[in-house]
Amino acid sequence: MVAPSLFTVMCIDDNVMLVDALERRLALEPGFGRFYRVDAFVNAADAVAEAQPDVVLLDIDLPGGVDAVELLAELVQRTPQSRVIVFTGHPQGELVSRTMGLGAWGFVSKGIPSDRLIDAIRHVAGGEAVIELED
Amino acid sequence: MEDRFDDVGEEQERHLQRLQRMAMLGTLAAGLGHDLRNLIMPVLLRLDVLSESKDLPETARADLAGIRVSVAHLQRLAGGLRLLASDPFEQRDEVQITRLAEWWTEVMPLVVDALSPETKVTADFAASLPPVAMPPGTLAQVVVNLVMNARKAMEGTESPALAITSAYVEGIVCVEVTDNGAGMDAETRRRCFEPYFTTRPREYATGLGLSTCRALMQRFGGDVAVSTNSEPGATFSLTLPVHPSAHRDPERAWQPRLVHVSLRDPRQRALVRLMLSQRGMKEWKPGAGAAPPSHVICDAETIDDTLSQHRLEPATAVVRVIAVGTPTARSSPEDVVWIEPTRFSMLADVLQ
Repeated sequence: MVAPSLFTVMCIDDNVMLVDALERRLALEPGFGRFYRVDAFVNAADAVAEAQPDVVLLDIDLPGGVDAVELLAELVQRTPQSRVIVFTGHPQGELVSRTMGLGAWGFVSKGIPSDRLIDAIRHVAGGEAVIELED
Repeated sequence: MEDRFDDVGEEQERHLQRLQRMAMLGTLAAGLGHDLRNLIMPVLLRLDVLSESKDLPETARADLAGIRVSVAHLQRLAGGLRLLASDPFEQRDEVQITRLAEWWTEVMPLVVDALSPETKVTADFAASLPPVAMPPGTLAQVVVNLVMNARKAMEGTESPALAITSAYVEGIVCVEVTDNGAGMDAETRRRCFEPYFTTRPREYATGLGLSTCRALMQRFGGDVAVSTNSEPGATFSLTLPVHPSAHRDPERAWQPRLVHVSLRDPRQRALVRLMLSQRGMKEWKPGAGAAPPSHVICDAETIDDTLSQHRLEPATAVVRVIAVGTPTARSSPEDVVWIEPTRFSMLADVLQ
């Protein structure tokens, strides 16, 4: 597996503390290109289409009545080149098969060590699918 | 007569209120676990960033390492809350297999935190134990319930100690939870699994703990009993059925079933690997002396090569062949189970 020379990441999550920290952490990663964030979640699909990041981290609990599973299905259809990782604090077995079955490239619990999150992003950027649940 | 009806009605009302309170606590635990995950991840990421600073003094690095240890402990607690918050009677979508040695590393912080700080806790879960057929969350709920009872029983004990042991005995795994507390009298021993029986003031106990534990254990083919030969203190014995995926080889340790995964789509491969680990199965790897797989999971493109690799004529194959995709004229032997990619999750049922 050869990772792209510069990989880009978009984070769709309403937890600003997490988004800020992830941006700082990814900036240290060799080969990391650019970080995108989304403020208006209802327009998230348009934001992905415009930025075309290599990896999209998608929180499953979005505010404002946005259904993240529907958004995942739209992203898979509209921008398949942007690989989606479902990123959640509710890691349930049913949700894994549902979202991976819809075309997500990753399913990552927020309850794992940070190095495994960064590895997951790298692997998905490189074309591998990843499921990271709590041990 | 009317007074008696009033009494029964009031008692039922109180039971209902206690049950509602327990349900509310479960919801609270689930929400707390979720919020903790959302708070801990940014802390870990910031610690990573700080650790990379070039001009950090050694003492600050030691402080950072100490913070990381504490945060990791907090994260394990959040994981344990997830186990405790799951609905024990609604576990269809949950993992139905528990590897006790791994499970204990997750549950241990909850057990230790449930006891007074001076309690000595010992536990023995050998890695060689076969997996048991019970969701990890259910087992955690039962054991934490027993441990909280033990804490109550050990109040006033000079050197409180809790020991958890495990052993494989003829098709079942037996887990014993022993405390050195006040113990139980004969009447309590006889009645402790009755619903609503409690030795504590009603205000602090629902009386549903042990009866619920027994109902949960029996739901999954196990049981819980209280031993009469531990003085002082009490011993509760859990019997857990061995997971059917583990089969005993008299010459070797427990061996999981092997599955040859030959799928081109990386997403399907990742999902299959998760399904295998949840069912106590392992991915088959080629190599000299490798045992043959019990299942082959392939797709329309890989089916011919995969079957010829095992020299399998599908009509006489002893292994189960599952293919993802649409049957092709070239590769559609009758005894292959075909699964449409859009219904990929059906694979979980076929793998049972």
